[in-house]
Amino acid sequence: MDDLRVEKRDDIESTYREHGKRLWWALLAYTGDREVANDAMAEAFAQALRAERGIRSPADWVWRVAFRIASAELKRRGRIAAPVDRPYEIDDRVSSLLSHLAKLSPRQRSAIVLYYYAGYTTKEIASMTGSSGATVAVHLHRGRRRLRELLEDGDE
Amino acid sequence: MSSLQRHLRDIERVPPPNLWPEIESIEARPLLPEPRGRQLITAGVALVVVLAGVLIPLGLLRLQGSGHGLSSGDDNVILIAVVSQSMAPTLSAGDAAEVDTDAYRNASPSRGDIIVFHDPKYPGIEFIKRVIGLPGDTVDIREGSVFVNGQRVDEPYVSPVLDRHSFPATLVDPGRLFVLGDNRTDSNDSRFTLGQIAEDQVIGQVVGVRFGAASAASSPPPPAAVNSPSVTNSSGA
Repeated sequence: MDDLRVEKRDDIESTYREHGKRLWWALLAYTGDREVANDAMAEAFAQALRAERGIRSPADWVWRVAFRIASAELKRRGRIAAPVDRPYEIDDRVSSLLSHLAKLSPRQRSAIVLYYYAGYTTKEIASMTGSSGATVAVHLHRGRRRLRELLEDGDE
Repeated sequence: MSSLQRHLRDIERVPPPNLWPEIESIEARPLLPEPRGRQLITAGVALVVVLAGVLIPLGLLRLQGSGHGLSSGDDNVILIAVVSQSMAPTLSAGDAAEVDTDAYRNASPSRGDIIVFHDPKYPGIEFIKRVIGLPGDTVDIREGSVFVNGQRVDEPYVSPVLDRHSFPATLVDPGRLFVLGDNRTDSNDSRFTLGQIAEDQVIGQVVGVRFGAASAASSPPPPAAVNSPSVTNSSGA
């Protein structure tokens, strides 16, 4: 392996160390499905490693690619996340959060997760999801209203 | 921190997996595992350049060494007439392409394969294009250079590129293929109205070409092509 490749690998690996957990949690919140989150994240990082040219901002790149892969997978499965009947242990607060999120549309969910959890701006989210800032703002607005209703109902 | 943010942080109660070993093992798989088509067509183009003069009189250039002969016994291989320039220089109008209709019975198309397919938008027409992106791939074109999943695709089969157009990064949908004609300046393909094509509309893989065989006896068509559909690559859009 030449130096350039080693350097790139270190770069991607440190991006993984720094962003891996947060990205995985965001993908889990978005998809409601551990397997989809695992696959999307692993594939996004693997693609980053394979990329021939250096990626200018590996963190933004893997976030974007992972969300796109997850979105395609959700479409392929033809359903939104259904976090009930998980075959694995998950605590009550998480499962209620996931079931609330599952009631949003996928686009509302990605907007909510990327904005409120990951801290991206609407403009950045638009570029990540191939949408416009105005559209993202609408999804964000509707998703936020719906999620607040659900959370308030749940608290009572 | 808003209550929404606080609620979303609950997700962090789920222990995250360590995916790095898996990532490294995926990365180790080559992006382009020298798919049959790519090797063969690459070899084919080299042969065209070097040996065309010798082989054209024979009327046949085999792109695949073995297994797909054009003998009469090989009834899964059909001949189709190429009627446009969109796959030039690999295939030109007037050539006859040998199409293996069994190629994808137990396998999926690979990147680099030349395929023949239908598209519901253009009923009754068969297309010939090259597979560039598979489901889940991200394809983009930067000033004429094709990138799949961020990696530049080596395309020896494309003529010295005159086409410097770009195409935005596009995720190939499940069950779809991103296809391009080798003749980038004169091909309606996944960049244009053809869009991503459905995998289940693929008829077969081009495994050989008989140069000029379709025009040699242009009217009437050569006997070999009588039972075969003609192929258009629908130049332009």
